[in-house]
Amino acid sequence: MKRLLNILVLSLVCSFGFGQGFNRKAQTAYSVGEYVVASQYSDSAIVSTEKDNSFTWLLRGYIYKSIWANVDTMSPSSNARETAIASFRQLRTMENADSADLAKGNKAMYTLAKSYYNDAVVYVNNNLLEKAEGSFEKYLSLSLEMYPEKDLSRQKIEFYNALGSRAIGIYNKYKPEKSEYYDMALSYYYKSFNIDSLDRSANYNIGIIYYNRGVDLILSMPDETDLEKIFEIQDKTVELFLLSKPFIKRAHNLDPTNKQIMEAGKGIDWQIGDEEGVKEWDEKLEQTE
Amino acid sequence: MFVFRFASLIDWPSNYKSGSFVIGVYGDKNVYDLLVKDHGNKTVGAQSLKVKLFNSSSEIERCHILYIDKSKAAEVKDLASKYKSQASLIVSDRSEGLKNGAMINFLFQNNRIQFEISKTNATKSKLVLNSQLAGYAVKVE
Repeated sequence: MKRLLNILVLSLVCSFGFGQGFNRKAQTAYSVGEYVVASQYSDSAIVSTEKDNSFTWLLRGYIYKSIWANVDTMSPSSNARETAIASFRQLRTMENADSADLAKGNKAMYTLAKSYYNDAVVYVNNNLLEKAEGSFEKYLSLSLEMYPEKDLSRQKIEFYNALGSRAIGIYNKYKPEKSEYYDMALSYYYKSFNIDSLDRSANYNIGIIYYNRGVDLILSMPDETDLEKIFEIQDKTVELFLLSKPFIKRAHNLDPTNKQIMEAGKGIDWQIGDEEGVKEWDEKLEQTE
Repeated sequence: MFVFRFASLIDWPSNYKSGSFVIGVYGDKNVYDLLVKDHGNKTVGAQSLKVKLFNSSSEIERCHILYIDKSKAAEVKDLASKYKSQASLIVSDRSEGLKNGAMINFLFQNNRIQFEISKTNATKSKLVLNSQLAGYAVKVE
């Protein structure tokens, strides 16, 4: 009996200390959906001799990816997703990685990268704009880590424009409160503009946001506003209209038949008393009819 | 905004201080719409505000303030002469308004709306312009 116990203990020591023991157990647990148990074996595998096997990191990535998807129900704050990414990243750095493991790891890692983009979209829809931006930045950095040559400019422009539109929507709903959303919108639109200064939407959005702010200042003046204050506000509005003008002009050059842009241009010139400008916009509008 | 603000910076004769306070707009529906939208249900002192739009000079009735759009600038002289005996504040826009009899004339300078005033023309119509107006006018006659 004592001999039998010794053999049993020796067998356990072997299975925990050598060969593919942890991975095998992890794989077994993983295959029946016991992801948390599988993760415990996998955590042991990466501090054992199995850590030099690319499959160890692939499996760990899969396991934590499954925890994120099934246990944490794809929660954006799940640490499991980060652990999965770290595992796939480790796999990518291994010089002797199995090419099939590497391909599978890359595919899974890119899926997780895209999940950050999906989180960002959900955050936008829930008006959690800073969180949306954070998730989007995470998506960008992961995507570029995997495919450094990938051009994400268009996607960035569209996303920042969407963030800007959402921010200005919130500002318009609650103004004059929540003025921080006006600043946020402007900063998002400028991010788009700084990526491509010839982007029509970025130019139009920046132009319109300045213009509307000027109009808001005029319309929000109380009846009892004295002349000194009226002139003071007028200075601010003129500054905003003049800021708006080059953006609207550029948007018009990029989209010369767009009537909405022409109306905006006309509105600006009207506000700053540029009669010639108003006349030119009127002529252009007439030609577009 | 300026047009409505002028209402509290002018002293009208006592026979103009009862009934509605009338601002007439001649020739610019946009200005009329803005005045109605922003100030339509307001009062000037104890008088309720009434904004009227006139499309032709024959439609013009007695007003406390008559705003004449720049598209009707050529008619300022005739209108000022016609209503000289009434205490109507005639406000013109970017014409030689004061020379033609208006009491206040708007003009654009450095992209900003400014105004000039004529105390002489105001006095002829028994209107007293508040000194604050002179303080902000680019020109005082």
